[in-house]
Formats: sequence, C-alpha cells, structure tokens
Amino acid sequence: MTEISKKPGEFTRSLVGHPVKVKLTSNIEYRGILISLDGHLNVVLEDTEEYVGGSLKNKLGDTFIRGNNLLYISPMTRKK
Amino acid sequence: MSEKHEIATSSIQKEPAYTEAIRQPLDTVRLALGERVYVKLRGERELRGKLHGFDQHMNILLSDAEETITHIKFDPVTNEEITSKTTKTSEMIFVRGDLVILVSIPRRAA
Amino acid sequence: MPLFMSLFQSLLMKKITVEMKNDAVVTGILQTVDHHLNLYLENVETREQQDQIHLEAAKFIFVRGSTIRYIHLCASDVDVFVLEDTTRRDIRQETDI
Repeated sequence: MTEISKKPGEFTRSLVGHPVKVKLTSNIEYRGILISLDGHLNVVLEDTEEYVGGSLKNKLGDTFIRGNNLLYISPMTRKK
Repeated sequence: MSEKHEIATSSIQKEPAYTEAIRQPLDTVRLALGERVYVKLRGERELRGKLHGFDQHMNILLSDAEETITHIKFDPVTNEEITSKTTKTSEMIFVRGDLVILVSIPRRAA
Repeated sequence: MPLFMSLFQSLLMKKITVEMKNDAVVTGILQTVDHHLNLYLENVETREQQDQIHLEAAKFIFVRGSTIRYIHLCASDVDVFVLEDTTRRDIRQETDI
C-alpha cells in the first residue's frame, strides 16, 4: 500500500542498496545493486550483468549508465 | 510491587549501511580518472581506454583508446545474423556525450 | 569555462581530426570553438568512408558540435594531469548540493 503512494523520487531512492533491473530503450537489460542515481536518472550499478534477450551476455562490475537511455528501473526479488 | 523497566535497546536503523556511500553517479566515474574504462556507445560501438576527463554530459576524453565496431548484417537467405568486428585505435580521443550508453569502471582495490 | 571548451581553446591552431556521426572524417587546423563545441577548421582534408559522404574539398569548414562523434587529438597536445584535476574540481562542484 505504502509503495503505491510513494512519489517517484522516494521510490527510486528506496531502491538504493538493493538489487535492481534497469531496462534501456535498446531493450538491453542491466542487473546489479543500485549504488546511486541522480535527477537525470543516471544510475550506478555494482556487480552489473548485461542481459540481451533474457540471456546473460556480459559482466561489467561497477557501471555508470547515462540516464537518457533508461526505459525503467525496477526492484528485483532477492535470490537467497 | 516491583515494576520491570525494560530499556528499549532496539536501535532504529533508518538508513541502510549504504548511507555513507551514497554519492552522485558522477562521483563514481570521477574515482575512475586515470584508470582504464570500458565505454559502450550507440551504434554498436565500444571503446576501451584510459579516462582523463569528462563532464556532466558524459563528454569523455580517453587516451590509448581502442574502438570496436560491431557490424550486424542480416542474411535474408539463411535468416542468420552475420556479425563482424572492426577495431581502430586512437592515442587521444574525445567522445561526444550524447552517444554514451554506459561507462564501466574497474573494480578498485580496497 | 566548461571543461572541454577550455580544452579545445588550448588546442587552437593545432591539427585535429573530427569524425562526424554520418561517418565523414575531417582533418584541419582548429581556429575557433564555442560552448556547444561547434568547431571552425582551416586547411581541411576530408576523408570519406564507403563513398557515401560527399564533402567538397573545402578550405574552411564549420562543424556543428552536435554532429560530432569523436575528435582525435595528438596525445602530446593534451596535459592529462591538468585535465584530470579540472574534471575532479568541476564534478565535485556539480555533485555537492
């Protein structure tokens, strides 16, 4: 319930430190721990994995992604 | 009558342990100055080189850079994608920020 | 002055190679630069890839900054330590709120 009433900024900030999925307009997807983000939706992910068409293509470590390429950012359920 | 007074010891953790590390995304790139980075660009281009400068638009200056271009052709007969790569080098290259998709930073030794 | 504008200011009268987003490649002596990184080059040599781009052999060329993909520079023309320091300072200013 509270999740729904959150403002976009609060929502994205609540994701910091958690595993997220970042989809780009090119349909490429990056998964990793969200380290930081700013007003342009520039994001930094830790332990980044690149997924193309659902399959793992690349491991990139710490990655800065330029915000203009972002389609969405969403939390991932923790696999533990 | 004795009353039990229990002191609430549960510490309230408002912020995750990451608080200290919360920086702006650009700060992460700043820490990579002088190191080799991987830059992915629009148009199936990739660059690897030593990072010497950048700004908030992600205009970037790299030295000893190697550019890899991936050409993807679609063969209508076999329905297969044919990819080929070409590489070019540049001793000092400025990259226009609007082409940048991501900058990947080497893991820092702690 | 923005970081890269001052970098290119320091490269005035130096030879640079501009690769444009339409794959045209232009080499010339940098005459002026503005804050859009529009460039004005003299003594231009053009190189065309795959015969697609036709740039007449012009002596002077004005390149709109937004059409640029890369600019290739001589490593000896750039003081990388000054540039790194300036970047650090500029980005700190940018991210300190």
